Amino acid sequence: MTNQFALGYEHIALSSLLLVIQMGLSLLLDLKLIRHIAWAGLRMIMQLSLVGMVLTQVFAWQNPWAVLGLLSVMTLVAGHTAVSRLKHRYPGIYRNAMMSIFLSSWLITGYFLGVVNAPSPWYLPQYLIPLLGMVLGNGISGIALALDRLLCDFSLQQADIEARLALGATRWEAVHEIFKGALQTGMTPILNSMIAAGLVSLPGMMTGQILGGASPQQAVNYQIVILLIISTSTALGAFMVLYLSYLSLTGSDHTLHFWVLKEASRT
Amino acid sequence: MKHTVLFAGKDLGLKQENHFLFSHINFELQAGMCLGLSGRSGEGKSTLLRCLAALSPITEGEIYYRGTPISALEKPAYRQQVLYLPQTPQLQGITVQGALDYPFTLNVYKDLSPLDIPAEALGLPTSIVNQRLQHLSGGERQRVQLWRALRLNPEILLLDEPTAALDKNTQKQVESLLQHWLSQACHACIWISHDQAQLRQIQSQALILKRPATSKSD
Repeated sequence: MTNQFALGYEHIALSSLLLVIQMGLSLLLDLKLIRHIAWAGLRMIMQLSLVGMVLTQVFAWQNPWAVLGLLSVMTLVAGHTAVSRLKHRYPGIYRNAMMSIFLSSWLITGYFLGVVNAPSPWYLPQYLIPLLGMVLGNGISGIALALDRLLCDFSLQQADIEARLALGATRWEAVHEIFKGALQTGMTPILNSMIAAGLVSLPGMMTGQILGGASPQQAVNYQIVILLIISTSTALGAFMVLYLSYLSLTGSDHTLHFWVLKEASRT
Repeated sequence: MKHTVLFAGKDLGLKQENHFLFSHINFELQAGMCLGLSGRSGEGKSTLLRCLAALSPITEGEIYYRGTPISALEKPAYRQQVLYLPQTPQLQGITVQGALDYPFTLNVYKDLSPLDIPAEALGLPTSIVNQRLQHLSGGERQRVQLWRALRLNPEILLLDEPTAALDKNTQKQVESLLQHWLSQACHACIWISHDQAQLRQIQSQALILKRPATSKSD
């Protein structure tokens, strides 16, 4: 039954034509994204093909160190990606994003493995790699959105924050509304996808399991657990990166270190 | 109690990259004094005021509040006593009343209540408290900011062109309000202005910022 769903290079080639629609839109509205779309599409195809080869190899080895190594690389790339398209930077932003995404995703995934349901062996790559991958993928967008909002607000509302400090606000009193807004922004997409789960779209993992022949009930149970893991880890990661950024951008003498905040040069 | 120096700067300087924006700034403020701060645009007057409010670090010298270096003070409590009013007022909340009340949501003011100062003292109508902040004119915003500051009962005001957006009559009213405020116990201020006539009238000392060499006269 899997034959019917099997995709080959000809299917990929035909699907790639869809990129032309995106480029047309960019051309029509002068979004200046054509090169970006082409690069993103090409990169996605090459990346996934490469990952296919690596996964085949790691699945064959069944070695805990190989699995942990791959998970670490995935985490590093996730931390880097979360920061790479932000409009603002400050020294230490990569370290903060890496720490947040690492702690939040590994902690929550660890909770799942340790408490909820451990595969045997615990490092079973077929299980652990896609699981952490989904957690990281959502963590990236949560962290990037929250951080982008925080840094934009810090930069736009510098005068207002300083006016609050000048009145005698502590650094937390001066920025906590911005902090709250940024955390809400970071959590909105995953909350939306929880609310729409199953009604609007069948989430990716569920789709995959059903296409792979699992029963809908099993696919649903997995999806519920996954969404709970992902949302918790996203909330935790966004909170951590916001808190670390708050510590980096304000001083213990209740000052705003606006001078460390720089506009990123667009690539 | 002897006549104390409320606020002082000793040999203040700010080094930016490899030049000084200002250096060797010295002043002492006792109760009732107003230090007039002038100098051409871009000479660092506003930056000096921000440094005095401990919002930006100075690189040389030390600022003293009642004899204590401010590096040793808790900044929220310090800024409550040495209140900085930026040139462009920033008012929090939706209405004027909200802006006036905002400081009392902060921990440093939690056990305090505002001084009773009528709107008329600033030449504002009583009904202004219900106005939305977005509908205020520049001059009204400036006076609401001053009104809020005076209600907080600070000892020292750091004023960055506090009457720049006001017409002549209102300017006179605000000047005499501040002169009256200075005459009350333990108040002093630093006042930035481009208007030499205004400064001559209100200041008890003058500080003129010049670059690269800075000097002080009184």
